[in-house]
Amino acid sequence: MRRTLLAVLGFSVTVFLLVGLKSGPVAQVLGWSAESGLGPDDAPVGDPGVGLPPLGEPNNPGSAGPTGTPQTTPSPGATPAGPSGQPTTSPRPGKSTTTTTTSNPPPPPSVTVTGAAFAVRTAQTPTTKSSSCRDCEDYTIAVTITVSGGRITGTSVTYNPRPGGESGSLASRANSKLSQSILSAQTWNLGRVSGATYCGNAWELSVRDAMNKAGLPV
Amino acid sequence: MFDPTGKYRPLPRRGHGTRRLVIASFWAGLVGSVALWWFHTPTGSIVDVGSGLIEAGRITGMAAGYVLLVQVLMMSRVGWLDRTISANNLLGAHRDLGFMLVVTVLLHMSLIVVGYAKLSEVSIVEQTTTMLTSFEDMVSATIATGILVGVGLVSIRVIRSRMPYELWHVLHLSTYLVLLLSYGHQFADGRELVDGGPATWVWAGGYYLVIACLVQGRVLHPLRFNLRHRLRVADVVAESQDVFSIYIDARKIHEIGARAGQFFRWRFLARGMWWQAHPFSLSAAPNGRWLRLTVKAVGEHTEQLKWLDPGVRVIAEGPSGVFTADRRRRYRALLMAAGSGIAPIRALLEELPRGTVVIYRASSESDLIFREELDWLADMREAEIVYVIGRREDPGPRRAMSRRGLREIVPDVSRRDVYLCGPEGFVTASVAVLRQLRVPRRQIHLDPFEF
Repeated sequence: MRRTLLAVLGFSVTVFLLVGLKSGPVAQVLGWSAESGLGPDDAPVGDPGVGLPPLGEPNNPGSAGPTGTPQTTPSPGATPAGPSGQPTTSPRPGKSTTTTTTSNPPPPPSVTVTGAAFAVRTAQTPTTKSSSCRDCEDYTIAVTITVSGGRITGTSVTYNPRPGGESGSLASRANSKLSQSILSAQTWNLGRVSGATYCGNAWELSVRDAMNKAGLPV
Repeated sequence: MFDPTGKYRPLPRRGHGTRRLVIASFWAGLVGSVALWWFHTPTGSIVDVGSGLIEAGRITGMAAGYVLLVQVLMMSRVGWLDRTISANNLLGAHRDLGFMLVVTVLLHMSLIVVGYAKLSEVSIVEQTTTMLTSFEDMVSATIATGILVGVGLVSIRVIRSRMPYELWHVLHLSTYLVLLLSYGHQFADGRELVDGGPATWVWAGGYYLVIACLVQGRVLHPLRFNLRHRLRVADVVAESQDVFSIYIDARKIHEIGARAGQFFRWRFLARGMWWQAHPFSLSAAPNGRWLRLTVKAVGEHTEQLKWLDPGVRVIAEGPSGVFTADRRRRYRALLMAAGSGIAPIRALLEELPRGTVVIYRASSESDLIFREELDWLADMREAEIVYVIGRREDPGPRRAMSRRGLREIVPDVSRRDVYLCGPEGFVTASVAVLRQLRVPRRQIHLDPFEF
């Protein structure tokens, strides 16, 4: 009995140490953070070009075509940062996605603008995943904002594909939070919102793009 | 009936490298499982309590998944494992690891739930519902946890001893369901395994390996063995008032690669007993003419065995066990037996070199079995047999089993391998005395069964 208790204790301590070694502060002290590279979603917010790989990258599993029912009208300012040469060619035929913006001109005074879709990589690893992603944790988010009178009055999100499992539950939870924050702050730049580390960045970038298109100050 | 024609064949002493290798690979596997987590977790990604808890949950999940596989593997009865690690140690490790497994799985579950609840700032109850409803295969994983905890509970010694063995066994077999039910969520929701990369393949490979061993050890090997040898009861002979020997006949019997000291799990295909299999050691070294097991009638099943008719078909699983002469570290040996524990000891005596000492304790003269055989073997092998008659508290046995008594009988005891078989009290008391006499632990061999 004493032996098993010792084993449980030893195991717990090991787990604690392992988690500790991977935690931010310790990693900084050890000088590991630079070498290992943060996951794409952990890139500092407000630095959009670095944070997320652009859509249309060949093995981006999320590039499965726009799901939004509205007609897609390519708009010039919509292409996010990234190698602009080859974004539309995808190895899988029929699945290519141009980084399109869906603008659905509703009757004034309120305008609905959809931002470009941005990839969310829940795997957090900087390396690209194999194309046979089983659970498809990788997905894209396109945020549609409703603007009336120069203010954002509503948001909605389109996923492609819809994430399942833990990603899905986290995403839907994050949405309500992010939406509230954006409506109250009237800016895309929210900083970290708890529970939104996975998709927060993509959210912000998409909103930023939509605000751009709607002519709001970014 | 007894006719020892077998010549003494000095057996090569086998190295213990394989055993060390098996133990080392267990630890390597555990480290490897946690390493999968390590390489999937970017440094510095743990920024708050919630993510810390989730990562801890992932580590415990990987460890639990690995230990579950090891648990099943250890009980697969696959030959290479059964002949490397003693059934005693396997059983002990299975018990200890089983406890660890239950603890680890419960930790895994609670850490993940609490971690996500913290991260998404909802109550634990709400988070649990979300996980059960929206995560793939989470319901079956929860059922698996329930079964595992249940199996763990009925394996607590106090509870287990109050249940009939067969019921306990059936309940315990439901752990195969755990293997099945917990499989899905590991690959559907486990971050380390979901991506279809090398980690996924290695992990799935572990499953295939364990299942292959299981099929080999529990199905293929017994099937092949029994189709080949077609065992039958040849005779049942009384050895004393309540001890009897069953002689077994087989085809190609000289090809049964069993050693003295090993055991089979025997299933006698007769009315009322075909559905249970019980382990018994061989009580004579295989001699190419018959196999023999010796049984003390203590329970319902063993009482029934006494009335077996010659010709009854026998299904045997084995041979298993490392209580054999080739596992010794030194040249000479001391054999110690009490009661019907003499059975495997009597067999071992045939395969040990000259100068072996046998200490055989029985509570009365009429309880001694194999007396003629032992005396005869002693003559042939120049062995020394010391009969210790009397109850444990009597002065004679107490003296013989004391430090001084043992040293008088076997002056070079610390330079011998000691093989022990008998009731638990006898074995623990003897091991304590042997340890006091500076017999290294690795020179002490225990029979896997208590007699």
